[in-house]
Amino acid sequence: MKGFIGEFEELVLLTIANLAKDAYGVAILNDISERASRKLSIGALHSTLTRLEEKGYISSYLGEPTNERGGRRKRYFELTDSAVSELNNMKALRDQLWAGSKINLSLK
Amino acid sequence: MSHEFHPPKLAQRILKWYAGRADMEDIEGDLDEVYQLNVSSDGRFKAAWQYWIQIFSLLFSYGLKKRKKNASYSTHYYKNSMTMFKNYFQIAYRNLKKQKTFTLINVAGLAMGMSIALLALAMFVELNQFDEFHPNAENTYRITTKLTESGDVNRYASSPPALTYAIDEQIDGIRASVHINDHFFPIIEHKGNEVDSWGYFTEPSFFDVFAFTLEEGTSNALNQPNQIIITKELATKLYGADSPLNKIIETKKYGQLIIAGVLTDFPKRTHLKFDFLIGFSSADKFNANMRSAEWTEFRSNYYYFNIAPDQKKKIASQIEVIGKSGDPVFQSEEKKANYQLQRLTDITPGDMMSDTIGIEFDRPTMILFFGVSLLILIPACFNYTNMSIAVALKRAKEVGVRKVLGSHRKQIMGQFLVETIIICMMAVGLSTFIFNFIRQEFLSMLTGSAALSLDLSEWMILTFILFAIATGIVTGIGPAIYFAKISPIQALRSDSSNQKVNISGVRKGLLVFQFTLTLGFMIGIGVLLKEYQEARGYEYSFNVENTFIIPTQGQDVQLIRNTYTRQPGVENLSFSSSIPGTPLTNNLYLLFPELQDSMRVRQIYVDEQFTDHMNLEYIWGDQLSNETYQIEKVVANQSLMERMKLLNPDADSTNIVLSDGRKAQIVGVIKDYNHEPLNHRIEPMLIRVDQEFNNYAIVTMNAPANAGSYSKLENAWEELFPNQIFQASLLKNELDSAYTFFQIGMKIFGFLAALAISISCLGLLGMVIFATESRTKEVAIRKILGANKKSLFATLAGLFMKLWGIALLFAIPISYAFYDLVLIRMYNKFSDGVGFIEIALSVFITLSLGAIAIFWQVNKVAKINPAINLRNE
Repeated sequence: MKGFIGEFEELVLLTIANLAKDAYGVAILNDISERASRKLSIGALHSTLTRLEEKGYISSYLGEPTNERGGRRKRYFELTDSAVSELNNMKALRDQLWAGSKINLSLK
Repeated sequence: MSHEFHPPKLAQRILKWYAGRADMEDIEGDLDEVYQLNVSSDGRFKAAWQYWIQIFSLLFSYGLKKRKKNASYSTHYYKNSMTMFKNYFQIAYRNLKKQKTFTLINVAGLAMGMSIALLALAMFVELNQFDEFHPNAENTYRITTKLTESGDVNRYASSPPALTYAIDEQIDGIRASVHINDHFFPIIEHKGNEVDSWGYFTEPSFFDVFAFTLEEGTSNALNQPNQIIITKELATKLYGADSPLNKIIETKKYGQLIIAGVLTDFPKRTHLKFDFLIGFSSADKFNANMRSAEWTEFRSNYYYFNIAPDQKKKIASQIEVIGKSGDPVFQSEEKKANYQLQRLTDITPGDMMSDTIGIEFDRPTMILFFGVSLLILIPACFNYTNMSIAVALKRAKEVGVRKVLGSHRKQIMGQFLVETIIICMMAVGLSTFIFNFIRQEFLSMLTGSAALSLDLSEWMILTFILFAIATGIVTGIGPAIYFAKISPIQALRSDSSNQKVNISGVRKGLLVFQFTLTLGFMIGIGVLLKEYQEARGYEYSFNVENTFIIPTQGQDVQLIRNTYTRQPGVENLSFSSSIPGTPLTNNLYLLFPELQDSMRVRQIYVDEQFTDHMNLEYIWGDQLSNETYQIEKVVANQSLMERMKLLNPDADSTNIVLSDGRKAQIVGVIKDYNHEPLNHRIEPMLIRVDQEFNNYAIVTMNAPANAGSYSKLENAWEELFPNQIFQASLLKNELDSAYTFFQIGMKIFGFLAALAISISCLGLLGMVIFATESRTKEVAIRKILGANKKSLFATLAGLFMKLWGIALLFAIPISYAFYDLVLIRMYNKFSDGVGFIEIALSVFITLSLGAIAIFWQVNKVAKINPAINLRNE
C-alpha cells in the first residue's frame, strides 16, 4: 500500500532526515515552522511523533543531560528503514505523477 | 538567551498533575526551550501566554495520552497483587512478633473494646432478620396511627377499627388482611400453678397474612366462640407430649377455653408475641376494646395486610381518603389522626411507637446502644493509634529503607493497614470469647429477650469479620498516613540515640479523654453503689425483720390464720394483697360526681391486723375492722387526703365513691409510708379489707427467721393443704428483689466501667512502657549524676500525673452533673443526690490503678544498674 502516511507526517519525517543527529522536539518544531511557516504546537508535534513511532517509521532515544534545559535530557528521533522505503515510495509516486502530468506544471 | 524568567508555575503544575506517572522529561525540556526562545523574541508576557497554549494543546494531545498509558503498564506497578499481600502479611507477622508487649496490649484492649460492639452488632443483625420468614413479608404492611393532640404527636402501632374495616370493604388492591386485638391476658390455672399468658383476638385470615401454620386443627376454630389455637410451645409446657386437642384450659377471668388447634413451631424472630389465638366472636364476651365502628378508642387494635408489589403509594393514598371520614370524630376530641403504612420487615428495629403489639425493639434504643458501644470502642482504637505512633520512631528506619528501595506511599500504607487489620482480627477472635460469656447475662437483662438468641451463625461471624476489617481500617488509617509521610532522608539520617520522647499534643488530648471517660464510669459505679446501699439500708416504717411472705395460693385465709397463730414461734401475722415494699399495680378511681372528675389511687386489700402488724401509724380515726357494714369502711393514707383536699377544697366529707359506683367511708388516716419501692413516689393509697384478695400471708417470727422456722411453717402448711406446694420467702429478699433494676443497672455499669478502666489502663501502660523504655539512657545518666529514686519517679511519671490532673478537672464536674441530674433522677427520685464520698472514693480507686501501672514500669527502669544501661549504648 502506497501513500499510507499523511502530508504532515511526511513533512515531519523529511525534517528529521534533514536534521539528522540534531532531530529533537524543539529543533523539528522550529525547522517546520521556519520552512513551512506554519504555527505548530508541541502537543500537535508530539502527537504526530508518537503516531509515527507506533507505525514504526521512527525510533527515539534520550540524549545526554543538557545544561540549558535544567539538566533535562533531549529525546532524539531517527528514521527507521521502513520510513526510508516509505518515503521512497511516496517520492516515486509523486515523480510518476509529475512525469505523467498532461499539463505543464513548471513555473515560469 | 535569558534565564531570568521562569515559565508560569501553575501551568507547569497542571501539566505535572495531569501527566501523573508519565515520563515527561523531554517534553518539559522542549517546553522550557520554546519558552526561552519566545521570551527572547516576543517578551515574557507573550511567552507566558504561548506557554499556556502549549500546555493546553499538550493536555489534549495524543502523545501525552499514549505516554500515560505506557506509564500505567510499566514494571513500576503499584497496585497490590497477591505477592505483595503475602509480603505484607509476612512483615506484619514479624513485626508483631518483635513487639510482643505492644501486640498483646493492643489485642487485649481492642478485644475488650469490641465486646460490647459485638453485642450491639449481633443484636442488630438478629433484629434485622425479624419477620423475614413470612411469605411476601416485603409486601405486608400494618397501619400505624399518628395522633396529634394539643401539640403532642404520638405514634401508635395500632389503628382505628372503623378505618381498617372500611379498608377491607373499599380497597380492592388488598390481597389478604387480618385484624388483631391484643387485649387478652388470661391467667391459666394449670395443676395448681398460674401461668401468665398472652393471646390475640383475631380471625382465620391470620394464617393467610403470616407464615404461621397449623399442626393440628383448622383455622375455623377462630370462628367459634371459646375455642382457641395455642402455640406448640405452650402446648408442650402444659401437656408435654400429649395431644392438647379438645383439652380445656381453665383461666381466671375468662373461664374455660377449648383447645381446637395447635400451631406448628415457628421461628422466634417475630415481633408478634402470643401464646394463643382466639376468635373475635369471643371478644364481646371478654370486654375487649374492640368495636368495628370505633375511631378514637383504637388502642390494642392492629391491622396487617398484604398487597401486590409497587402498590404501596396507591393504597396509601386510598387509605388517606378513607381516613378523612374519621376526622370529624377525632376533631370532636380535639385530636388529629394520620395513618402510615409500616412494612412488616421495618417493624424491628423500627421507629419508637406507643401501644406496640408484643415487644418491639425500636431504632432509637439501638442507636443509643451503638453509641455506648462506640464510647467503649473508641478509646481502645485511640490506644492503638497512640501506641503505634509512639513506636513509630523504632520503625522509621524500616520505612525509610523501604522508601529508598522504591516503595510507593500506598504500599507503606498497605503495610500498616494490614498490620492493624491483623491485630483487629486477633482482637475480634478474643472478643468473641468475651461475647460468648456476656451474651446470656445480657439477654437475661433484656425484656423480650426470648425472641433473641444471639447465636454465632455464619451471618454473625461474617459480620464480625467485616466489623474487624472496618475497625482495622478506621483505626489504622491514622498511623498508616503518618508512616507514609515519613521522609526517608530524615528517617535514615537520624540515629537512634537522637530520638526524643515526644508525646504530641493530640496524643495528650487522647489520653486525657480516656482518663476522663474512665473516671466518669468509675464515679458512676460509686454513685449507683451508694444509691443501692441507701435503698437497701432504708429503714422501712413497717416490720421487715424475721418476716416470711407466704402466698396463700387461693386457699382459705381463715384456715391459714388459725393454724399459724397457734403455731409456736409466730409472733404476728396478717394478710395483704401485695407485698409491702414492692411495686403496686392495683389501681382504682375515686369519683367526684359533682365535680365530674376522678382521681386515681392505689389500693391494697388487707385484713384487720395488717396496720397493727406493719406498725402503720394512724394520725386520725379508727382502725380497720373485719365487720361488714352497709357502706364499706376504708383507711386512706395522708397523700390521698391531701390530694382530695386539693381537688375539692370545700368538701369536708369522708364519704367517697369508688369507680364501680359503690360508696365507701374513710374511717381512718395513716401516715404516709413507702408501700412501693423507694424510687416510686408515695401515691394516694386506699387500704380496704377483703379476704378474697388476701394473696399473701405476712408472718413475723419471734426469733430470727431461719431454715428451722421455715420448715415449721412448711410442715403446718402441708398438713393443711397436702396437695399444694408451700412457697415462702423472706420479706427481706422480696424487698431486695424489688431492687433488681438497681442490680441490673450496676451490672451493666460495672461491666462498662470495668471495660473502660481496663482499656485505659492498658493504654496508659503502653504509653508508660514506651516513655520509660526510650528514656533508659537518660535514667542511667541521671542516676550516675546522683538522682535518687524519688526524683526519677517525678521525672518519669510527672507527665502522666499532669494529664490525670487535667482529666480530673473535666471528669468530676461533668460526671457530677450527669449523674446528679440524669441517672439518679431515673433510679431514685427522692435520693439526696451525688455525695462527696462516692466521688472521692471512685477517683481514688481509679487513680491508684493508674498509679500502679505507672510505678510498675518506672520502677523497672529505675532499678536497672546504670552501668549496664550505658554499656549497651
